Amino acid sequence: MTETPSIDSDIHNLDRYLGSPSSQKVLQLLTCWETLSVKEIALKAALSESQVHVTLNRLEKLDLVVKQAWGKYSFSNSKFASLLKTAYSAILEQIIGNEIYQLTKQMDNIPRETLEAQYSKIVDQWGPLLSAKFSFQMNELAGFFVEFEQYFT
Amino acid sequence: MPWTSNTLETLVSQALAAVTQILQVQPNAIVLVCTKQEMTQKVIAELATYQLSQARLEWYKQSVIPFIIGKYFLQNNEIWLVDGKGDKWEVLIHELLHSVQKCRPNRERITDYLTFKLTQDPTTIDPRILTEWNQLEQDYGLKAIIARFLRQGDCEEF
Repeated sequence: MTETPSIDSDIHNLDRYLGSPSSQKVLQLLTCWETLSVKEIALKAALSESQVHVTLNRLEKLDLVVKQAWGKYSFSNSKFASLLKTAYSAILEQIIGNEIYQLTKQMDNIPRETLEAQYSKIVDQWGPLLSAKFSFQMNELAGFFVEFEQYFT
Repeated sequence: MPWTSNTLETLVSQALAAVTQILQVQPNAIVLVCTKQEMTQKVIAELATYQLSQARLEWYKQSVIPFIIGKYFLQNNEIWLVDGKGDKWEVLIHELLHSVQKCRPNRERITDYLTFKLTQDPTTIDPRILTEWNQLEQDYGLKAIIARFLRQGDCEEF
């Protein structure tokens, strides 16, 4: 049986629970999408499916994620997982806000194809949080693309 | 069919007054509320006039149109706001500003700044853009920013 990490005793060892860049990416994606399959995570994180399996196994052992009956993964119900998810929500808002800012900053100055690729990457990775937390900014970006056709097609 | 209501008309009156006061120009776009589906159909109809490839149209349907909650349509001088999502003060102000905006390119940051000036809502602007434009206002003054907004050419060329 996996022992649930003690927050008090392990707070100084946070790296162990946040883990590698792949673990961080997986936890970010699960924070955003709630449940995802290995294949979906691999696509969104640009990782191989075997990398995702290894990462999920490690996170399962730490009782941070659980495999649902239908084969998808989500955060576990442990207290530590819940705290971590809350922390990741705040971090994600910063990450996404920054990605949108960078995109907005250069949208008139980079090739259209590059802009669309960067935009699509943001949408593919963070879809649900974009509507929930960045509806104003996303409306602006979406409107920009449609306007572009009007003026430059 | 997109619709209006007493609540919307009150909101529009207040927004028009606020925009007119700061710009000294009165927007005359018609403002309507619509369903998400109506907005989708309207944008697709607009895109159809540009003879885009099917793949490109699909990209719009999947990745772009779902995020549109309010839009100014130049062709018929209308602003459509998605019911329950875009029929908000800050979205209405932003689209009313676009309806009279003359400058481009770089049209969004200046509109974000003016939207913030009118709404004082920090969620409508990235703090870094706010800092940059506060500095521009200090350097050139709000009148110059508004004049830039209402004149053709690059919105960020002062």
